Amino acid sequence: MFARQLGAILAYADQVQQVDTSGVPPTAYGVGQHSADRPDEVVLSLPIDGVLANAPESDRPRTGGGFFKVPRVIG
Amino acid sequence: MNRPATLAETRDAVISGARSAVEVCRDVLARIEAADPSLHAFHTVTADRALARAAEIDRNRDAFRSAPLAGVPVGLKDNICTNGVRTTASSRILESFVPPYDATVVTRLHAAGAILVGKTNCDEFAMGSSTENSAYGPSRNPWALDRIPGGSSGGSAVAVSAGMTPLSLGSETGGSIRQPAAMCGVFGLKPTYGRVSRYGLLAFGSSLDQIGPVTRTARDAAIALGVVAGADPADSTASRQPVPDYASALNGDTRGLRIGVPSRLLETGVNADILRAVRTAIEVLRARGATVVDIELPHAKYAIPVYYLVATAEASSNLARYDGVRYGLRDRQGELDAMYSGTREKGFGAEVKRRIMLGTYVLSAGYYDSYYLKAQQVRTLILRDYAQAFEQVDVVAMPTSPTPPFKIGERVSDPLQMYLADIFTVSANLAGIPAVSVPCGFTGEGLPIGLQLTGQAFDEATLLRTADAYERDTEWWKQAPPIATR
Repeated sequence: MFARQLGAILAYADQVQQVDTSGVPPTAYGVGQHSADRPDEVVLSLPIDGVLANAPESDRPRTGGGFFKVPRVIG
Repeated sequence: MNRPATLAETRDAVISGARSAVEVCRDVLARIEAADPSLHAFHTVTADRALARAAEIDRNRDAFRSAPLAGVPVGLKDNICTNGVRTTASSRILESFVPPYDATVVTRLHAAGAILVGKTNCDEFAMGSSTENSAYGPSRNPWALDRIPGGSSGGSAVAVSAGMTPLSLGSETGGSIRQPAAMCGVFGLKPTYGRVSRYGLLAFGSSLDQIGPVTRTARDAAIALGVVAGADPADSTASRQPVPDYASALNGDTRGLRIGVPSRLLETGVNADILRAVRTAIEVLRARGATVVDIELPHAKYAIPVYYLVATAEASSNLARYDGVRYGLRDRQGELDAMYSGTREKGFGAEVKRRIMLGTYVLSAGYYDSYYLKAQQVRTLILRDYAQAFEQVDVVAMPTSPTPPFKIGERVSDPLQMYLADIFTVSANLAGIPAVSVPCGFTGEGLPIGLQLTGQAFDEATLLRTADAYERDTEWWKQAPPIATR
C-alpha cells in the first residue's frame, strides 16, 4: 500500500522538475531574518522528576542526577 | 442572542462583573459535556483546574481589570505543551505524555487571564487536512456531522464553531488553522513566520510551523494575537519585531486598500458556490472603497508539490526524537534497534509513516538535488511571486479551500487527494507571510465558506483591519450551527 501511495505522491511531486530554476538560490526559511540571540546566562532547566516521569524506563540514583534507561547496547 | 458570545463580549462581561469567571467557565464546561460526544473536539477537558483558575480570577478581580483575556475560556490544540496536562498530538506514541513545562503561548494566555478548559483533537502530529489522521478518531463538522471539520487543527475550529470556547489556539504548517476555520464557519489567523513563539509546540516542519488563534471575529483574533505574539528567549526564531496594538488598528477604513485577486489560479478546480461567495465578498470590500486588481502568482500551482517535499523532509528529521527513550511509548521487545523500530511501528499512524518515509527519501543522497533542493528553489520563486504582487497590492484575496468540507472517510484511502485540499493555503507558509480566513457565506448545501486574505510579512494589522471591515458589512460571522445554540 505504502509503495503505491508514495509512488503516486512522488509522481505528482515531479511537477517541480518542469520549473526552470537555473541560477535560483534555494530558500530554507520564508522570512529572511537572523535568529535572535539571548544573554548567555544560566537559567533553571526542566525539573528532573517531571522529565523522567515521561521516560519509559529511568533511574534516579541517590548520588544525584538521573538517567534514561535503554536496552543493553554493549554486550 | 442566537449566537455564542465572542471573546471580547466574554471578557467584557467578566471585567464589568456582569458575569463571574466561574459562571462563564461552568457554562463552557456544560456546553462541552452536551455537545462534545457528537463532535469530538476535545481529547482532554481540564474541568477542575479550569474552575479553580476561574475562582482565582473572580477573587482577584482588580488584578485582572485590564487583562485582555480576563476569564476567557480557551481550548488548545493537543500539540501545544501544557504543564501537568496530557499532550498527545493525537498520536499513540504520546498517549500518556505529560509535559513538565508550558509552551510560551500557554504562559502568555494564562498571564492575560485566559482559562485553559481542554486540549483539542487534531490530525496526528498536525499531519492532515481533516482530523481523520487522529489516532483517537475524527472530529465532526458542527454544520454537518457526517463531514470533516477540516484539519489539522479541526478540534480547535469545532470548539469555536459549536460555541464551546470563544478562543482556541491551533497550529499551521500548510493551512491547518485557516482551512478548518473556513470549513467550520469561524475566523482563523496564521501569523507571520516568527511572529509567535513556538517553544512548547511539538515540531513538524520547522521552517513552516506557526501557532495562531481560531475565534468568531477578526477583533477577537487581534486581541488573542496581541497576547501571544512577541520575542521569546526560549525560541530563537521568534522575531523581535515590536508587537503593534492590533485591536486599535481595526478602524473600519478600507478606502484606498488595494486587493489583488489571482484570477487565473481560480479558473479551475474551485467549487462554483465557493467562487461565487468569494467574488461577492471582494465586491463588499470594493464597495467600502477598496480597489481590486488582477494579479498573477505564476508558481502557485507548484505550491503543493513544493510543500510536500519540504514539509516531509523537515518532519522526517523532527520526528526522529520519538524513539522510545525519553518519552512516550516504548516497544519492549528485543535489542536497541528493534526497540526503535518496534516503537515507531506501533506508535505512529499511517500518514505519519508515509511522511517520514517520503521525507527520508527526498533527503537521501541520490535524490536530494532533484527533490529537496529543487523544491527549495521553487520555494524561492513562490516567494518572489508574492514579493512582486505586494508591489501592486496590500492584500491578496482568494478562497481558503477549493472545496466545501467533504464526507468523513471520502478521501482517506487517497492521500494525494487529501493533500490537494491545501492548494490555496500552503503558499503563505512557504513564503512565511500572514493570512486569515473569514466566513463569507455558505454553499447550496449549507456548508461554510471562507475568504482568505494574505498579506505582507508582519502586516497582520492590515489583514485584521480588512477582515474586521468586511464583518461590519456582513452577517456571516454571526451564523452558528444549530448545535451551538441548542
